[in-house]
Amino acid sequence: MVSEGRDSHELVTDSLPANLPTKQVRSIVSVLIVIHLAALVITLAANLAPSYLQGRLTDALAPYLRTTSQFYEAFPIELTHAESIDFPLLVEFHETGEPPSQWRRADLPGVLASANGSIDVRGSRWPNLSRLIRLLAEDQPESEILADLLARFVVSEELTSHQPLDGARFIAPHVFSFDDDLLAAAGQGSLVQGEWKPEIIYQARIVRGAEGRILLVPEQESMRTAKPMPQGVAVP
Amino acid sequence: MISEIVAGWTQYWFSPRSSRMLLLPRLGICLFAVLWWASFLPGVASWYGPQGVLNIDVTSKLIDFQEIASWQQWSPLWWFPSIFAHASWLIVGMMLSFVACLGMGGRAVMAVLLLWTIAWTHRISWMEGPVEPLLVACLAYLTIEPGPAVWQLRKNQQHSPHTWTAGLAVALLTTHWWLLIAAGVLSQLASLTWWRGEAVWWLAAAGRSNILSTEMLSGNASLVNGLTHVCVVVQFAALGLISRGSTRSLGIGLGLVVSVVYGLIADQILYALLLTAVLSAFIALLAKRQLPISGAMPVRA
Repeated sequence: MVSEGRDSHELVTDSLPANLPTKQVRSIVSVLIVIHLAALVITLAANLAPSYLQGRLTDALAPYLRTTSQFYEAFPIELTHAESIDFPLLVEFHETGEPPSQWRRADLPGVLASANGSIDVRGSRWPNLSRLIRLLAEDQPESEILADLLARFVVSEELTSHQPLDGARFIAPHVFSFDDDLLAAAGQGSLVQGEWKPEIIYQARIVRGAEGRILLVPEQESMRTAKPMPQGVAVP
Repeated sequence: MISEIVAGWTQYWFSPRSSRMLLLPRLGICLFAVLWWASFLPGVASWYGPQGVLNIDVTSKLIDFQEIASWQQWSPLWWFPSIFAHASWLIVGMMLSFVACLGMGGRAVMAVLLLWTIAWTHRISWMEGPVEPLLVACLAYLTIEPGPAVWQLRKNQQHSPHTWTAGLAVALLTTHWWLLIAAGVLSQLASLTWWRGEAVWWLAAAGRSNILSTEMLSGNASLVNGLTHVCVVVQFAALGLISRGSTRSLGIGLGLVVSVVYGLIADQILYALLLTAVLSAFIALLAKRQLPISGAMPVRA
């Protein structure tokens, strides 16, 4: 893969240094290298859309890969495929008493309030989490995990802002395509964000229960049911 | 034929090298680790504290949801949910990284830092990105051979030990870099976005570029297409050129450009910094011809 200072065919005919490990040590270490690199290649290959076989192999290798934090799982090593999961979600809150259309955007550390292009070493962390939330919302929109995560954002926001909230949502802002830009350049469209409505990925109403517990009531489909806040976190 | 393959394999993985060759990668990787730990500190309460978005309860549910055996996500932090415990973990991590950077404590400190880091990556769970597995792997490779302490440099300037563990660590670092860049560019080409030269636009439009915006790129299709194609070509060129001794210097230079692509054209700045630190291991291979090889043995040993 990465050859030495000379061409590889020269190496094998060259002499080897004497201070090598013993043959037994070399054999054991070689087996470990092969296992490690094979596991790495398999998990990298299965990162985005694993085949059935890759899925079976990564499951079998999970005890090694996960315990050593080498398990690749929808990590953005491709940078972008221009798919929905590549566009970070935003979190918005609705304050009690505000008009229904008045939503306030979350300003949590590491969560970009907007696509502002600023350099932040933590900037890629929220997109990592957002990517998995989006995958989950697309595959299992009824999952309780979505309510759990949004509820945590609500609690965190209320602790910070001291403003009572009655609604929260994950939204996907409209991302202009390259074709949109070409049309705009030809005078057949515009790239004004305000003219496009964001896609609501998950929206819930916040209901107060006894002892400060909050309930998230999903608003998108009637089949969704109320989800109690885990551990009954008291909100001031 | 078989003996040639075995000899080539042995030469690649087990050639004794000066432990000083690990100095530059170790400095880069451990200083990066200090930055990585520090980057979690400002949001530790909001994200990981008892009232944080990813508190212990929610993170445990995420792990259960993925049907991951809890022991595989081992971390002492599951038992200590307080902000103090999490902040302390980060500060100790920073200190360990700095001590390891100096080379103090050798393999023992590096091994502790490795376990400390894995425990934190398990705790952050869904906030993980490509940087965390790479950092853990690098620390594991440096545990095999961390290289000399910084205060031993002058003393060992004339004669530094050549060990097979140093050769193995360098080979693992360089091979890992190569595999990650190859996996990255092949994954990119799994989408027409990169073939059609649009990827840079999408990065900017989604707010996922550190230096580009749609305002800069709008109406300039040639620039968008050109930048996207250059990103792909640079990665392939770096992989090819860095693999051969005669072109390795140029390959290292293009490897730096690859880091710019990941860190500035895209938003993976931490990943790009760590890739750059790992890239420094290739410099060790540049100096190979100057190394004394003590003795020789036949290929058919």
